[in-house]
Amino acid sequence: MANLNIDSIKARTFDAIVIGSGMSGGWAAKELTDKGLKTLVIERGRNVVHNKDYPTTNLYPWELPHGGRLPYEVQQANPIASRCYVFKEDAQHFVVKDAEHPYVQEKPFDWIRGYQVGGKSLLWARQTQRWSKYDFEGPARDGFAVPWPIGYDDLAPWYSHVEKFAGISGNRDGLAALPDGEFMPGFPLNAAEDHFRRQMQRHHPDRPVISARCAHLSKPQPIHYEQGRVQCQNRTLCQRGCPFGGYFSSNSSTLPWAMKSGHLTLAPDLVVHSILYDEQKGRATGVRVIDAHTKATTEYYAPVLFVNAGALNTNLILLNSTSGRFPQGLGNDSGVLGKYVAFHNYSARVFADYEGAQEFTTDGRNPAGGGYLPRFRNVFKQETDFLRGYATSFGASRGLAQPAQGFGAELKRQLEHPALKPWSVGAGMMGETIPKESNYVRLDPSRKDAWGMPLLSVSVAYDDNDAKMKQDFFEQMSGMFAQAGFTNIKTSDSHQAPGLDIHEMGGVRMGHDPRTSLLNKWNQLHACPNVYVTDGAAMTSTSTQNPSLTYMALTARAVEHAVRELKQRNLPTT
Amino acid sequence: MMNRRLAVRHLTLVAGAAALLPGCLAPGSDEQPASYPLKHLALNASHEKLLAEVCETLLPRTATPGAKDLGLHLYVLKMLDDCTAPPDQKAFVAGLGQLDAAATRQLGQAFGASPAAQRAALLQRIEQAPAQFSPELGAFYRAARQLTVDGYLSSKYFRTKEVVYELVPGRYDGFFPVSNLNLAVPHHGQS
Repeated sequence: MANLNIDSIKARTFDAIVIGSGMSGGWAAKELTDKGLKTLVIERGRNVVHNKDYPTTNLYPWELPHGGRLPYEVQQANPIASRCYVFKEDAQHFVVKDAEHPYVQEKPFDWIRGYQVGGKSLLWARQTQRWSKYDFEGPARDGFAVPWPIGYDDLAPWYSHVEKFAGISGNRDGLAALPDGEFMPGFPLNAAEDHFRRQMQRHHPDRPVISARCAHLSKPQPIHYEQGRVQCQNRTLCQRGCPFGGYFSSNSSTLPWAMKSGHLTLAPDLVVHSILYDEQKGRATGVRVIDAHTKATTEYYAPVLFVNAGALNTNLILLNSTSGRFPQGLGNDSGVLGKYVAFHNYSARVFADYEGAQEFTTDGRNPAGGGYLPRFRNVFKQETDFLRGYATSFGASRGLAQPAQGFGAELKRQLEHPALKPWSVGAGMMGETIPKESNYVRLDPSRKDAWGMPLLSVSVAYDDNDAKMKQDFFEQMSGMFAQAGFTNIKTSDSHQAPGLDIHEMGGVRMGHDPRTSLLNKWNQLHACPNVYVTDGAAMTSTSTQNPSLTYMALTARAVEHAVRELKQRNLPTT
Repeated sequence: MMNRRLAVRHLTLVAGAAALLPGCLAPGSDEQPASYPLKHLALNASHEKLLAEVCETLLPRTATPGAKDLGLHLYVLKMLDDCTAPPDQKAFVAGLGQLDAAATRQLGQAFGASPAAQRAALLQRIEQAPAQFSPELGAFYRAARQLTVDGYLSSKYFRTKEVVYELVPGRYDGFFPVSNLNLAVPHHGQS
């Protein structure tokens, strides 16, 4: 029996364990296995194999049972998921259903999740921008949160590292506020978007309009062919999973790459209960997991752990990892764990018409979505009565006219030979929010889910700074649209709850000081250094960039550090 | 004028629509259930037949297939039953139930018994002077029109022969000259 036990423990022991297989977990898996570490990746959801488990990917619109719309009963049963733009008939199987995974909203918060191998990397909007030095310096300069323990120069080589592999399209725009990266050709602006770019060049030279930078293969390189990925085919059906691997996802890129190394064990359908902490050894030794189907409990062991469960679930796991040494959750000597959660304010849009450029339209589809205006407020110094600022997505398109009235042969003729409408333009705010102690997550004291895990209780809200910033966005963008000659300018406040931006961050923030932060400059828990957190939970502040690229870079950088520490025996091994 | 190929296509489409119908459908019998397995709507085969006539009036067969050829009333029933809020379903059912009475009042006979021009005249009156009719009949007309149009625009026929949907465009041109656009068979750039 003793031998059997030893064999069983050996079979459950790895060089590294990664919790989560989404955007950052996939990167941890790739980097660890690239360095020869026998790596276990644990995923709470089912397996989704690239090109095998994309059931809707090649369906024509008429082949979807309801043309893409979800049945009324499904919408009614899923009020949270239904507010997410991706929860439609073609991708609803990749979005968590409300009733299956409840959580507590102390304040309204739409928590959008993707519980499967690949996580939300299958569903993301694929926008990828580097942070600049001004973004990292924000908290220290403006006196909020805590100073970042790293700056742009620390992350720049790792941005390059992940960009080359993931494949990023964009132009070298030479902007201080938005550093250039390792780019394949950008997707071009269309006639109306380019008109806006030229108008802003004239009226606001400090507000450049650039092609959105995105994780699409506009001109694949050998490293992408080696992954089995080919050129983006402009389908813009990305949320279904891409048979071409035209955009970056864990499923199409990092996970199959790690699998090919022979060092990866992928374990789907396992819910992580907690991280095990050995008081004698003074370090984490592994994880306790619950089988999603049988609910049986097992333990896995490794000398180093990466927590990439997705920002809020990473908080949940650490809060649930209690021991004599850490009664408030793993690494939580400071009491800061779960606090200073922040997000992006996506609640404001401005729409307009453009009567010019009537001689042009678009042909094919643009996976980048159009243009992007980097943050222009408070970049180099404080200029407004609110802190920080917003980036802006900007796009223009021409639809086909559909008569609102009439019927019969004449209506058919109009539908079959539709007139082109004028250009419609739209701008969306992506505002930085300030992390605050009062924006937090915690464990519900009594309620548990179907796996016996405490429910996560979320208390996150907007503040006055967000309101002032939104007002400024409406004023500035309306003014800029007017300067560009756009007409029928309309502002739109969605009043959406935090969370629907799907950019929740923080709770396990990085910082120099263990008294006010959880993670050091290498993303190790200050108090338990063989545990690394490299997903959105680690973010000290949010800036305005779409965050995934930064998680990827932080992860690759942290893995290199972990492997170096293991080799130098700074992290004790089993 | 219908050419031979179009006629063959119509036959194929009609056969396709018929394949969706279970054998029990006997037009005219009030006792028969509707052919789409309805979970919410209280509609029977004669309602369905009447709806098919309304849809055909909205989008009749011309040089291109009409609502009956494409089975668009089945699309309308499906979307109503599966994707529509209960109050809107109720209004639709009530409005459909009032259509024959309105037809009798305005045309002197039931909708189905009236010639095509008279059917069109009635629908035109409902569209342009809704105040002369009940709110339910107005709601029925608007929903039937929109769903029939949606069904046509999303049909395989329309997305392969009229405004063509490309699953794999493989290109993007943001300065495509409108003069190069063939609006006879446009390729939809945006979705």
